[in-house]
Amino acid sequence: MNSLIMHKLIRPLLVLSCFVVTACAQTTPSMYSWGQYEDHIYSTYNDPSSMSAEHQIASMEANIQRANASTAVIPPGFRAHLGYLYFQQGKLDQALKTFEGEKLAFPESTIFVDSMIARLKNSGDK
Amino acid sequence: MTNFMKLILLSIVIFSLGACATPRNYDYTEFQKSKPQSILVLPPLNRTPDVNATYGVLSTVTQPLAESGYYVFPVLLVDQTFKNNGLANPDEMHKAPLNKLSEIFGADAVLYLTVTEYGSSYKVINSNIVVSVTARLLDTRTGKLLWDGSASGTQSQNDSGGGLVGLLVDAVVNQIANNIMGDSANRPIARMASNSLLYAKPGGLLYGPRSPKYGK
Repeated sequence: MNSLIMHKLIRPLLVLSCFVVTACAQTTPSMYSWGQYEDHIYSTYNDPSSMSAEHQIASMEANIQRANASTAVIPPGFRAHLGYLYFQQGKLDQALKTFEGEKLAFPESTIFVDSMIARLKNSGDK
Repeated sequence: MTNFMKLILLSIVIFSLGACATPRNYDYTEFQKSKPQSILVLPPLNRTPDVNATYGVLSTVTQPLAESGYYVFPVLLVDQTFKNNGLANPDEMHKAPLNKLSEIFGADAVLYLTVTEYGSSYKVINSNIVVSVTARLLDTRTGKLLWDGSASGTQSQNDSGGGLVGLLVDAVVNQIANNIMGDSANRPIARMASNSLLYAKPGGLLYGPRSPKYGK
């Protein structure tokens, strides 16, 4: 009987302890609107059947629209990742625009994003 | 509430508080000299038997680093760039010379991660999910070590109060549940390990220039 009650309780208790642990690791409010960015990275490698490229693109576009309609900020790497998905889908104009967006928001990315843009332009010339 | 439940709650609180009460003294001389703005995270080395470890951890590192104030290169594109250049796995990627990484990515610092534990560890009367990661942050230009550290995330699945037989039954139930859930059960624990390792804090990484707490 006791065991049964504990089975029901163990999950909420674990959730609670996660909250407490997170509470001391992260005391500042989030700077960025993450959407499912890291979930996409995860599923690309460890659960590829769970999410198609189209689904990822739609989810990332929706997150950008939500952020644009508020004061939320899109995190580093997010636009470059989306640009790469466009690139893979052959949507080169959208890819280029999104890569430029990453550079504009995060000038730290310039060298790397320029090399992605060069790859994109090479593939367009063929 | 039974006494037993109170005891469990109390022990959770004590454990959690204990987890954040021990900052260590770390020599930040090189870190403060280097002032990195951007961090390139290489796909982690996998020193566990679980093939999911590298990307299970890689997909949890961007958030804590970016929220601590750094530009974090898009980890999937970084991985693809290495593979396009003929470096097929993390072991090869970790051997890439720093000047090459600086040239290709323009990163100020490179984060080398190693996953040492990932997933369920079965003991006689309980089973835990553990993810452990070690980290070394190097300055890309000078090659100097800026910071190193390690952290674990743990989900303990024992203790149901049913005595020894109850524990044995629970351990079997948990193992079956973990097998059904597959790698997705490890994801929140990997997240816990990365948050604990990579959010800026005393003894951990310093805040980066994009954080309002930079320099504090």
